[in-house]
Amino acid sequence: MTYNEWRDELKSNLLSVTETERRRVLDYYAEAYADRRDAGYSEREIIEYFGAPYDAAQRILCDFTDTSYTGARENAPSYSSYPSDHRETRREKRLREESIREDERMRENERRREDERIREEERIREDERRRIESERQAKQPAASAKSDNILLFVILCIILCVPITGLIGTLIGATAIIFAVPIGAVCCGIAVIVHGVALILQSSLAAGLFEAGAGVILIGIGIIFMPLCDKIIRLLWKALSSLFKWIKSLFCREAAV
Amino acid sequence: MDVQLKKGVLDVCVLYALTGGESYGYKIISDLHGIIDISESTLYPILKRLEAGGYLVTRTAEHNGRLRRYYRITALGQRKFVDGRNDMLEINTIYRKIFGGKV
Repeated sequence: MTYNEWRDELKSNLLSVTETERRRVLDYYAEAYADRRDAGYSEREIIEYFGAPYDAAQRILCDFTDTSYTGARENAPSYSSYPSDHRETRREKRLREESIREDERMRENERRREDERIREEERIREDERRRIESERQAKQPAASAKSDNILLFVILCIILCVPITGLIGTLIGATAIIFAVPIGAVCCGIAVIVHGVALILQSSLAAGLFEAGAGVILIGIGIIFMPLCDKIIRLLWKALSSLFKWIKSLFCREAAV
Repeated sequence: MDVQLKKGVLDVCVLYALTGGESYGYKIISDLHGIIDISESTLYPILKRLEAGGYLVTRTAEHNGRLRRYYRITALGQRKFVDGRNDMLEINTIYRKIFGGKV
């Protein structure tokens, strides 16, 4: 704590006394501080000697409530009763007036600093309030937009559930048909081979061999077309999946904005 | 020490510091160092009270480009100092009677 801070705190604890008395106390301590500085004490040591400003103020304030102090005031000599051979010189008067003006300047500066501090605090509070308000407004449209999207999705699901169900059913049927072709070809091929072997055993060698060969060809066709059919089915399901993803992206894009 | 007793003792000590002539705050504290240690915060209300009681008077004079307040004991203050000294002698006598010189 610096001496000026100590003095300011003392002053703030003496607001209940008159301006004249407060000024006298501050002059007293200013003089005491200067004397100790002349004697070689550091600012910190002097403040330690002075003690806490609150305690110093309380000693002064308590002294005002002393009844004996109040009673003796009536007999207090006036300043003019001091030896008349001393007159305040012009220089002393000027110093006293400069001290008064300095105190007034310091009070004015303190008032100005206090006003600036209050204005700064108000400005910070206003900025904070505006920031919170803008954040709140930014969240609201997104929240309302999200709820709108969900509602639209539900309505679309209700309207489109029949066509979508039909589409999925068609795709399942197409998948079954496409898979059935090569499987059917393989099964037919096996059946034809078996019939061909039976014909061979019934002494119809040519017919039996012809049918066995045809059966093998059918099996071969089935095996050849199986990967192709698999690719076709995967394409169809991928197309359906892409369709649903595109529909989802329509709703999610608006929510992200 | 009892507050009122200490107040009376401090008043006597400050008046004693002024019996040698005009003095000022820091000098009073320095002169009393070794007799009783007081700080500026303790001294101010004592000086104020003594001045209000008419036991001392003050004046302000220039010193090294600043103002300094000087204190001077009055006749009333001299009588108060003498009364205070007699009170202390009386206390000392009572103390000796109670404790018989033992601590």
